[in-house]
Amino acid sequence: MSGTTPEPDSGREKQTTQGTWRVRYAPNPDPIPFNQVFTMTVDVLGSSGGAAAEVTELGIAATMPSHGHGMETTPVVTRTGDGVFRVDGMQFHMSGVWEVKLDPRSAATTENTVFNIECCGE
Amino acid sequence: MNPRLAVLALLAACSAAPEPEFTDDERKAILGFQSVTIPADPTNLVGDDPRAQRLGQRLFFDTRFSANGEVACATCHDPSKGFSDGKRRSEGVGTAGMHAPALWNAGALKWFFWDGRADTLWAQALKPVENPDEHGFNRLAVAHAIQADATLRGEYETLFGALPPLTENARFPADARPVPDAPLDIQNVAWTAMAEADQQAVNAVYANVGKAIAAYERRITSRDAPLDGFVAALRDGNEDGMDAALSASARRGLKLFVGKAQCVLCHSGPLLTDHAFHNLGLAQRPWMDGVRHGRRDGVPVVKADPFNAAGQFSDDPLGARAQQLRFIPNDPQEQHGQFKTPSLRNVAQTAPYMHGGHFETLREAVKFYSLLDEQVEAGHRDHTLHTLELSDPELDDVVALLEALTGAPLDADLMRAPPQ
Repeated sequence: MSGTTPEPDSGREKQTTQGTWRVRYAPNPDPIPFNQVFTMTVDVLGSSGGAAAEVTELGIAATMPSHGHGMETTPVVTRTGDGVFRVDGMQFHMSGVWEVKLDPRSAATTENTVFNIECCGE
Repeated sequence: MNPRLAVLALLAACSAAPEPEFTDDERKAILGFQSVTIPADPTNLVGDDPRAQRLGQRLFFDTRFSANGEVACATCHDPSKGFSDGKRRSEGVGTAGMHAPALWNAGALKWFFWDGRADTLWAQALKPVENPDEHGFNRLAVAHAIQADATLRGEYETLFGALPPLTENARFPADARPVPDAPLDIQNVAWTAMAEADQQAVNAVYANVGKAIAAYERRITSRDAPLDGFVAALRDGNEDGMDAALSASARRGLKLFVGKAQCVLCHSGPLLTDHAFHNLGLAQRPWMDGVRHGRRDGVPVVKADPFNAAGQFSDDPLGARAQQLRFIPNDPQEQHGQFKTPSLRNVAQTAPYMHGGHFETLREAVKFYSLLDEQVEAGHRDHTLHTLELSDPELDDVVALLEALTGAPLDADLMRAPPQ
């Protein structure tokens, strides 16, 4: 084994590392299907709770820390509105906990979130 | 408490919570090895049509679809050898570059060939037909051969409608296929001289041939392996059933498979594969003709293939398989030397092992994973792999587990050409 298995998160919303934004994701289909391509909608919220319009890009990376590998697909991120992003081409090809990094980026800064997502329900 | 009652209570507690043989994660992984089911393939609308299955079965065993009249799909996918051929490098009209993968449960796979250069079973079925070392045939000759045989033609036209006017020799030459790498090849010259509409009509016939063969291959499904019995008994909490299904050695092998040996990292789910591509770091073999680059070479081929899941001959060009194709990583460096994780169902029937028939026995293959004592030939070895230092008895136990993946034979009427 290459690493340890993290515990899955219970929620789908987190504060970014420096605390500027909150990041929330919703998969489609929901629950995430095993070994099938799925989409995620990601909302980035400002401190007031409204859409973080200043966030122009979203970084995405998904790996399985316990197995030392990433996805078999390369996702594509599209900004669909203020603070709203669609991530197409996600695919979890193995059961277990996936570490998904969602990193909002504005002109001033890039911050990070890490979600531990269990694949893929019962 | 009465001491006698206390002893009884202790005994009851022991019987209710016996020492677990598997951890929760191991148990979950084992329950994932459930019996195989073949999912629908929306890219092939005739995939589950019995008429297509019958036509496909005819084509699968028919040696007329080859340059020398001696090679059929069944030559390298021999039902008596677990739908493989027992050779390191398969032999058709010539000698193929790699070891023919077995066809068990191919209808449940996501990628085809060792390097994933096809993304549907029907597209896979077409490539060997035109490979100069395999069938050495061509798509025009396929169409003409179907037209010339009353049974094949009747079954084809019932399913797919009328064949193009193939008797018009000026429009439809006897032998032609695209050969982009060799523009002066006589078959490529004949192909490029055809009208585009006629080319597309022949391509449609060729795709339909693949879909019929795939319809038959979707029935090559494994069932009732000892492991299936064990998984069912484990799910039901039936200890006696678990003991009856697997030998003690195979059971120890299963514990290693999902535990210390971590085989399950890549060999998971009903087919015991992750449907992904990995670089094991195997060394060159003297019988291989040069370095095989694996997934690095397969990705551009499948993306450009007119018969892929997103193409015009797919019955579901916007569906899940097409999506899978759209998001393939473009990472030649990482994909260098990666080959597909094969399913382990019926693996004991399909020696030799690995893409080049690197190992003659399962024990040799498992021992390699334990030692990783080879110098990588292409790219870099997956970081997932670590030496296991399995003892000789442990190697035997893993092999016993692999042998317990052999299921019941296929129905006899699927093992041969159907009667006329």
